Amino acid sequence: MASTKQPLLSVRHLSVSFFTKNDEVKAVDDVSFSIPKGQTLGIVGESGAGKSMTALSLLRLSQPGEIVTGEILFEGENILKKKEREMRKIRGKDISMIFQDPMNSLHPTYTIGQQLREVLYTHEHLNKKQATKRIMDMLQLVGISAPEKRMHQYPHELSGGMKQRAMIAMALLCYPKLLIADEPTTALDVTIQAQILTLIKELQRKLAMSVLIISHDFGVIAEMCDHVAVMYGGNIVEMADVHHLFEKPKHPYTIELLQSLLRKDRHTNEKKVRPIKEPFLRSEENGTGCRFAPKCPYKQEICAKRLPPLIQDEHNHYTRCWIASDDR
Amino acid sequence: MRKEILKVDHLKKYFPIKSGIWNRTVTNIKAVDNISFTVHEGETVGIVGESGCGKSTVARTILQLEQPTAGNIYFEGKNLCLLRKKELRRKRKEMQMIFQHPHSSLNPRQRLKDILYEAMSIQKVVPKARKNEQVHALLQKVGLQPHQQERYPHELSGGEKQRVAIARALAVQPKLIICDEIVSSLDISRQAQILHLLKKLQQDFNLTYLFISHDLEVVRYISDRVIVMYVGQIVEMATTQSLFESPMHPYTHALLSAIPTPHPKAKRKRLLLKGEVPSPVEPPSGCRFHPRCPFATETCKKVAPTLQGTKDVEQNHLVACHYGEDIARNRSSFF
Amino acid sequence: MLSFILRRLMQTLPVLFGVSLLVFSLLHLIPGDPAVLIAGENAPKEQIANIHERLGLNDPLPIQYWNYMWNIIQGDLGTSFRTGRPVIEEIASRFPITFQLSVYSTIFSIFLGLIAGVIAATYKNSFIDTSIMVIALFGLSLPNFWLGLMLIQWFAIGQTPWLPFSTSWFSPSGWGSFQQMVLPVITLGTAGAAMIARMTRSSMLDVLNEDYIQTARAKGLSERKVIYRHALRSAIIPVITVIGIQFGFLLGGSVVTEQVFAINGLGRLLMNSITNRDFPVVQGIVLVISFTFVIVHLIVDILYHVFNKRMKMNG
Repeated sequence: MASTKQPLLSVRHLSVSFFTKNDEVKAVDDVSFSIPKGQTLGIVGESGAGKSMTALSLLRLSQPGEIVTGEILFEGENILKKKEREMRKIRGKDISMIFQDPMNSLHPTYTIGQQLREVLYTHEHLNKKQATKRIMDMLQLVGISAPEKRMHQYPHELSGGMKQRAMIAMALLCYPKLLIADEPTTALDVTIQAQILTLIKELQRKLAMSVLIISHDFGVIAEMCDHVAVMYGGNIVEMADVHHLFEKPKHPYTIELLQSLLRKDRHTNEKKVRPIKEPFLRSEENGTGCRFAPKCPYKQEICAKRLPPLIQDEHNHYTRCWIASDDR
Repeated sequence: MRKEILKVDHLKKYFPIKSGIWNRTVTNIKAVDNISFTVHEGETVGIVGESGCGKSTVARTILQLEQPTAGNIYFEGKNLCLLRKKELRRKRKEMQMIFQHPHSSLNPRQRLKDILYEAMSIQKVVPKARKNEQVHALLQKVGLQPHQQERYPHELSGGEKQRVAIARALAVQPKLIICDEIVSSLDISRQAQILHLLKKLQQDFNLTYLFISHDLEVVRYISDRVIVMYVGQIVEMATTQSLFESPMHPYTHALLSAIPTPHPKAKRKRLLLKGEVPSPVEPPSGCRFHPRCPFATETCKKVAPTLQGTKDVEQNHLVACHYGEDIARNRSSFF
Repeated sequence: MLSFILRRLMQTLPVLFGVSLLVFSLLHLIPGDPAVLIAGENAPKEQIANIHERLGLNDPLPIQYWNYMWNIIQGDLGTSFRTGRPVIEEIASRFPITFQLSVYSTIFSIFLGLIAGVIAATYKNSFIDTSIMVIALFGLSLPNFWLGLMLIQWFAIGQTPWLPFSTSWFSPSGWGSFQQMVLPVITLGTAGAAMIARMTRSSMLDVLNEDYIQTARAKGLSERKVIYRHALRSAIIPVITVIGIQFGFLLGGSVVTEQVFAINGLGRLLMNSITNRDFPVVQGIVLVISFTFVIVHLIVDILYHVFNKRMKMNG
């Protein structure tokens, strides 16, 4: 990605695997990307593509998945080399994460205030008064009215949208440099989703954070991101500037996904939906070839044999495909 | 006009909230509050709305899984609410329901063929000798391989399980199938396939669908007509084209504009709603949408609008808004 | 909340009524004339008639029951045949010992069970986990009397064949001093500890999969805080029920232990009264144990309700 300065986060050749007694399942396989300061990267893909595992690895919380190889450079330092104690100082302070389901990601028997305060007590030396002030300010910032009242409420007393706002407030308390949002709006209704997405964008600008958004929804990705990485079977198959990706997708999988969106042309009523076969990663498919080869309509002999490299074109558009590189 | 197959007439469903020492009903959740609509043979009617708007309760009440608090439901002219148990059971096989989570609606200990056998035998639709043949035919119809009949549900992917659920519904040769969020838990590419399959089956078997979903794009893809619900009531009802191209209710506008467009250059003029969906226990006075509506006036706070047709827009486009037509006419200046 | 307690209280009334009816019938369900049972087969007729008169056995059953209930409400459980003292006094003198024994055993169970369960869950499927669960299975299946006798043999009499020094640390019988209490508490509490350990483990494993545990880790909390402050707080809720049942069970279940350690508690009194056909005492003890059991369950239910309310509403 075109940035002369050092990016905030850069991930190099990251692989995460699950080990069973006599088997290894690669959930994330040789993934590299970087996020410049203040920018948003989106990772898009279907379930089982390795999106969430990638995100959790950035906090070293991928267990039981084990990080096998790779480097994760955060502000130039490899966090995989850090001790667990040093890592804890990064979690929730420099890198924060919000999760898919706000219903279950807050502890049901602590009040909102208690849960937020815990973050401040862990990372910053504030007295109770200072902590309360910071929490109230943050709750107000994320659009929670009557923060004083909310602080003393339990999660079940808040609506889904409010809970996600509280989660965001908790994640932002220490003004993190990177916010990871794993499907932040999937569990919410559309009108609430619109509110939350707008809020994240606004806060990103105000607090000058970098954001990593994980989503299966191309709509959310198109709206939020500067750059997009498409994942399939643990690999990044395509990565580009958001405009490039939507206008000139190169990888057959990306093309199929964009076509399978129900954006059928309203006037020509029947559009053929071309079915893709199961995208789930199965260990026997962990062969040497391109992960998408078994389902690819343009498959050639080489595809099943060798995994294509991630090739960059002149627009910083990366594609992992043997055929896409010659312009179609 | 095609034959009317389902008619919902002033349907209400309240769930009591009990409290106190004597467990007395203190108040009601007004899940469905006075709604009426009809469904014609061979068409697909979509119901959209956010969580808690009552759309699933409508489905359950139609199937008499819940007793309606008031109102009537007519299926092929017969009032289901007045039928005796035995007659109801006979009628029920003509109405099938498919649910959101196929893994919890399929018995994990039954093979696919047993799941389908059971459905067929409960309703006694197929003679024993032809069962096997029938299972194969059903599996093929829904795009599964005959050899998969020996599989258990957990050996299938989410999309395949949903196909089995569809096959099971088809096994009793129903006329009406109610689909409750059936593609919501599937990946995008699977969604498209399942919807495509439903359309094909509809042509082959002359099925009628009542399709419930929170996802407007899905509803737009499959439905002929669409009903928009908000806090237990219908706010707008129209043909799919009319609803999506010229929505009249501000809530429908907001819903449509809230969908993120999968294109980065799409310039959105978004009608961002403030606040949250109100509780169906104490719905707002007057028009239930007024606290969140950017156009609300004093009238809206006091008077509940009725669902009615409009003059200058397409016929059969019904809207429950005092200013629906004004808003529709001046759309360009608002949105 | 208050209305829940009141409603729950009213639900216990029919249970208490049922229990009293059952205890009352105890004497009448045994085949033959109660008076003969009491006095013995060869007792003279006058004595039998005397007993009939004294116990009101000539009245119709409903009247007898009414009198019985009326007496109970007034705190009169009858008189012991053997000692001639009021049953209520007999029980009152023994109850505190059994109650203490039960309370201490329960505390022992909770302490040991929770720690073992949490450790097992934390190191799921490891050697530690397997060992703890195997030991727990043993603890659950060892008969009380055997464990008691073994403990006496090893740690009171001091006959441990594999140790070179004497291990007669504790007293083999009685109740009161610390040295007297240790062995019975362990004997009585082991099964409970095993049960609590198993329950805690499975409950912890469920909770550790919850999203909010991942949230807690993502906040930067240490694993110890994640487990004790976040996971255990939710995992303990189902364990409370087990603890409650356990405690109620101990009140009535200490018969064997009291016998083994010669502790003069309710259980021992019950045994003696049964052998001596002291029916009023038997009835009284059964009644007291049942009532305590019901009340303990009531308290557990209320506690569970308090803890669980937020959890349930969240789901």
